[in-house]
Amino acid sequence: MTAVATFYTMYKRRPVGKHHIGVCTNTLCALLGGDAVYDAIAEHLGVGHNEPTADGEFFLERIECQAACTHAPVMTVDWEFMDDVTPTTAVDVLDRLERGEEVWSTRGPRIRNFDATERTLAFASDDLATEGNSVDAKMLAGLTVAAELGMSAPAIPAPSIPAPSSPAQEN
Amino acid sequence: MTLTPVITEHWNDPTLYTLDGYRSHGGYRALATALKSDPDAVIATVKDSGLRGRGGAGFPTGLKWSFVPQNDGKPHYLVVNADESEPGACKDIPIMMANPHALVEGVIITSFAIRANHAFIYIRGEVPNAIRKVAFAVEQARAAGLIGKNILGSGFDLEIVVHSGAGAYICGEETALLDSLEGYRGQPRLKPPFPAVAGLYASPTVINNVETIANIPYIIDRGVDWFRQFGTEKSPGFKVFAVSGHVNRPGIYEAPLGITMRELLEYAGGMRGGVDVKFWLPGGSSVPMLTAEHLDIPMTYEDMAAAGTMLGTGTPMVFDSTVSVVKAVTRWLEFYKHESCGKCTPCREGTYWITGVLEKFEHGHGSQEEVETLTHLCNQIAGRSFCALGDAAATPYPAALKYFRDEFDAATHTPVDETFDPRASYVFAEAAAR
Ligand SMILES: Cc1cc2nc3c(=O)[nH]c(=O)nc-3n(C[C@H](O)[C@H](O)[C@H](O)COP(=O)(O)O)c2cc1C
Ligand code: SF4
Ligand code: FES
Repeated sequence: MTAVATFYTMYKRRPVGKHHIGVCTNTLCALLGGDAVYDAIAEHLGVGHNEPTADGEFFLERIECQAACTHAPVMTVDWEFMDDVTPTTAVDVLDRLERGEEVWSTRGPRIRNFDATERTLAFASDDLATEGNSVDAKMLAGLTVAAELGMSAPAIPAPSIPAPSSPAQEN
Repeated sequence: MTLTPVITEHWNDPTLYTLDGYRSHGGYRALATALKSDPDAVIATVKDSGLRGRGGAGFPTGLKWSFVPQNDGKPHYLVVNADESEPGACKDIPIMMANPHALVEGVIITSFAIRANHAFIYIRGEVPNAIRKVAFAVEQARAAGLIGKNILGSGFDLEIVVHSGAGAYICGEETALLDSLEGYRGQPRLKPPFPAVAGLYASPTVINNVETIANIPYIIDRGVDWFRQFGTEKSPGFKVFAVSGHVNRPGIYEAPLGITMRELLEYAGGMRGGVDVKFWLPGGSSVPMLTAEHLDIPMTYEDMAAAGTMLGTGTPMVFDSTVSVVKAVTRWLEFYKHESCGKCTPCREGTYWITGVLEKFEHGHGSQEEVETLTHLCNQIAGRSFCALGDAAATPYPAALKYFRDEFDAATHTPVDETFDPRASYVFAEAAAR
């Protein structure tokens, strides 16, 4: 058990608190401003890497690349995306959470809390798939340019079938 | 070369992630076609298409499938590698969030082809929003009879399990992923036996990347000739390129393999503030970096290899001249050190030592002797470690030294943050004030 629990970064062996705050400080995010975002949050919360705040409200972690480098610098709240943050907007998110205001992921649902996300992961599902917007302008960047320039993929032919074993249905 | 949205074509339809939305654009047509055919014919089609794995290594997909022994009496498994944790890679997660049914349809067709009745989608745990989207797609497909018993009356049965990872880059390595899926520490296995013969629970298993599998419905639906209109002889098809870094419009750009970085840069609005490209990596931190000299090389498996690098995940990271290459490399090595699974000595110890020495350079305390020490350390890891993570860790430094030796020289006396003001690289204006 311990061998497995200590191997994986996401298994926490002490309480995380209400909200897990991740700041990507892998190279691309870090250089594009993630280091400054991390510093601003650490200063604001008065904690360092892998530390909870005294009131149990937040837990701060420097995290690795979140597969969202197009949206750098990236922060996560309870592992939901907070894309394209700046030191100011990142701290503002924390303030709003602390005041109990409704906060939405930039590409996903409303922020709940860390425990709720852990349940999502344990069951690999929840009922929030229809909530929020998961596709943003950066994910549509190429599609948008292609539309502007009148570009598209070659036309779709009449349905084909995996030949040769069903020759009767070919084309 | 033009942009050619295929997997991304309908991402601006906010209902695409639903079954009805996906079906309204022709979704699940390929599944019906495949089920009316037979498994070997599907494998033959994918082989003929020339599709190569989009997870980084570019292995021919149809060939991989054909290694699965038939009529062996054992259960077969399909495992989708949705661990996307390579620094710089950011295309599988968007595919799953925007077009999850393309993956699910691909999983069903692939399982049919390799005669698997169980498929697993292993998604990194740090992205719950990708997990819930795929889980939702699986549920909807099951409710519609596209997963389960006797799919579309074909007699083919399939169950799909969505599994969350728990934060370990090494679990993207295919055999470590299998150990993780079985409930153990995710550490690589000795090969051979290869997973196609003895994989999950010692049974024949195909492991493919998300984007690879998402290609399958389009190939089956539109055919080999259509598919081969894109790309080159050795690198056919289209690619979901994710362009990040100091470009004006970072994001997802789908284009044929063979497009150049210069063309992609143009579509991405050019470099921020017109500042020059300093270095860029075609596909993740594990492939050697290139410079502005290499912007016109076609982005194919073969041309990138000829240029001394790799296409990798096909997710270029572009850095401008405000960036310290020493700092970039140090940060990547800190990542590899953290993610080394500890199984073999060259990687476990080597990443520790390289990182320590690089951190001295970052603070301006490197020495000429240590420039050589680092080269020596990298040579000790490359080719001597148990899995490709070790080789990857030995990659950034030699490439950086080749093009930017002067920066390592400077870092023997001056901290890199003095030579390169970090604030100049930030993408937000408030940097200057802090
Ligand atoms: C350290 C390491 C991490 C990897 N991470 C991933 C990953 O996140 N996703 C992926 O598809 N392949 C990853 N790979 C490559 C896989 O081992 C494997 O080659 C790939 O999933 C095969 O799929 P494909 O043939 O469809 O590309 C990784 C390899 C290594 C050595
Ligand atoms: S090379 Fe690194 S990650 Fe791979 S087995 Fe060895 S220690 Fe583990
Ligand atoms: S480097 Fe931060 S999301 Fe990739």
